[in-house]
Amino acid sequence: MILAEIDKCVGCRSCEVACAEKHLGDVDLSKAGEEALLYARRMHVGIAMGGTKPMPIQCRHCEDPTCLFACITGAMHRDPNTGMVLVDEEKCVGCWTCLKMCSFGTIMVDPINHRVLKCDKCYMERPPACVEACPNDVLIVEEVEFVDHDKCIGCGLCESLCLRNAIKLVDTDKGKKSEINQNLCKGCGICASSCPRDAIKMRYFTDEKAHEVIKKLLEVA
Amino acid sequence: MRYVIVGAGPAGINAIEAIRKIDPEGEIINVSDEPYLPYSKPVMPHYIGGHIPFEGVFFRPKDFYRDYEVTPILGDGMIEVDPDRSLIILKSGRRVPYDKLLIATGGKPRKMNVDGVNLKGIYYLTSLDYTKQIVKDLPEVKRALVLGGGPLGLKACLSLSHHGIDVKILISSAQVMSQALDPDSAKILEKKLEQSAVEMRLKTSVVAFEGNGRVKYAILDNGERLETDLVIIGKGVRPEFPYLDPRKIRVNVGIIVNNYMETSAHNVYAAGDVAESYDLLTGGSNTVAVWPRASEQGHYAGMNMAGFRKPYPGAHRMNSLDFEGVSCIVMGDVKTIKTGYTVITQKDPKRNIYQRIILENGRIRGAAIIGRIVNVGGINRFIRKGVPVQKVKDSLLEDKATFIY
Repeated sequence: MILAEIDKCVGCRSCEVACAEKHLGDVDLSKAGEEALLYARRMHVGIAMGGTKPMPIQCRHCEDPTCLFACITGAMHRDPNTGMVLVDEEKCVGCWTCLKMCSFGTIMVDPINHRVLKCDKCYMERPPACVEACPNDVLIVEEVEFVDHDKCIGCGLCESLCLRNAIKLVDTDKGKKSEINQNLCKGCGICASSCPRDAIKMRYFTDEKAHEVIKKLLEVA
Repeated sequence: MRYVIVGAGPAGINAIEAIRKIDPEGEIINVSDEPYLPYSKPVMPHYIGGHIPFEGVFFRPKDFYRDYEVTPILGDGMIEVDPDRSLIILKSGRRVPYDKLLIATGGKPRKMNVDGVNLKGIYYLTSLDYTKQIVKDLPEVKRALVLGGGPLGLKACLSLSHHGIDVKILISSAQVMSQALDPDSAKILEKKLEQSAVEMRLKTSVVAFEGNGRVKYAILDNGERLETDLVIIGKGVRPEFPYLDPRKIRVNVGIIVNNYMETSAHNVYAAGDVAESYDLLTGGSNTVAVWPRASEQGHYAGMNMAGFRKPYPGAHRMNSLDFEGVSCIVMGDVKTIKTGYTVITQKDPKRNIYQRIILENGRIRGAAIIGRIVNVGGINRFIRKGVPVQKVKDSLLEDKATFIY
């Protein structure tokens, strides 16, 4: 997941430019010139309404994506390899229906090729372009979980519980151990809470983080 | 458990996907009166215009039925529902018993009742059969008429025009998109039409068609005779359910369903264009034939059928189309203005930009965003959730505005 520590965002939009550059291969520069950079980006920096707080906005790759319901061509689909919600740019006809279904406004318009664009987390590449470009460390690609192979006994309970086939037993030189596919893992925590040896750690949503969030909410209230 | 899903449109297909998420074992049968894999009716104008190949009309992969372990019965439509004996009867006479039934048969085109409407060359633009026929006819067509000023009619006339055909669009109302748009918003699209090669006639109706086997003339209400090689009728759809006994299942304009997509008959559900359900804006019930709503309803129907009881929060009308580069996105109700409503307008006619938001008690009732695509997702969400926006109403249409809620 790409997460953002929005307090640190100053709205420089380096992330947007990096995203566009990374995906520029699709855009015909001769048609659009400088503006092509903006038309190739798949995420954007928004400003909180009525205020001045900028924040980067990427597709959340939701569990129940309303954009999937909206797509009239089937171009919007869930990629079985990574669990991400992606748009088949060849199939998209630019009807704009999905744009108005995304509550977070993450879907971008490509008016040159008349289709929509979506964050694809730079597919398998780590770190994604936006994360790398940010000068203020606002964006994080946080591994949500990891397995401590010294503690793991290879019982396979986690594999049987995972709803997303994200954790599997693999052969290592320490014997059979669990490995997490970071693209499929959504950080639900079922495996971590069930592990008889406490070998799985949630990196982001720890108890400390939860306390932090609650404190912040209480400050604002 | 046997689930019988009648209809292979977005409602039916989303129901299948929702059921499989919850129940990997149950038997699923998908009945359709058309002999095609699930295809998208709103995409027909794009196929006619040559923007997509034939394969592009199918909105799920070829292996969909195999991947989801569904038994398809295509080309054999349902002609009767027998809720007392929990079975349906198909056109072929085949009987299909069900444990749970979903009726998602969609809407049928509003028919025109004039002389000559059955002549060859006159088509309703919804079904794939008609569309294939239109595409076959196209090389011989020099003049065409499109009847209807809704999104489908507008898209169709542009598609035909792109083939170099002389197209006239005849609209009975005084404006285009008379159901969705207010007159001022409609003017932007009308201006675009006037600038295009399509001839637009408002307040014009056809009273008869003439021809010898194939249509040759359309007779207008003002007496004029228009020569034509092809007629496309796009006057909207309405639910039709001849397979139902209204004494056994409650119907009104559509098949009435509650928040769990249940009809009044035990174990029978309905979703999509055929269903009549709660409208968030009017507070009443109606049928709104738009794709996202059909998909969502199918999804919720599937969940409830499989035992995961979750109420559907309701929907409002919405439409979006791209009109020769001018995007037009309408959400909710922008036509009704009562005292006490606030109307926010922002326009730039030179750039074909027109934006209008209607507020009632500080909540957005409707929005028409034409010419630029900004914040539509957020605005739509505010309409759905009835979010009070009084404090931020001045920045709703700002360029970089984002909705953090």
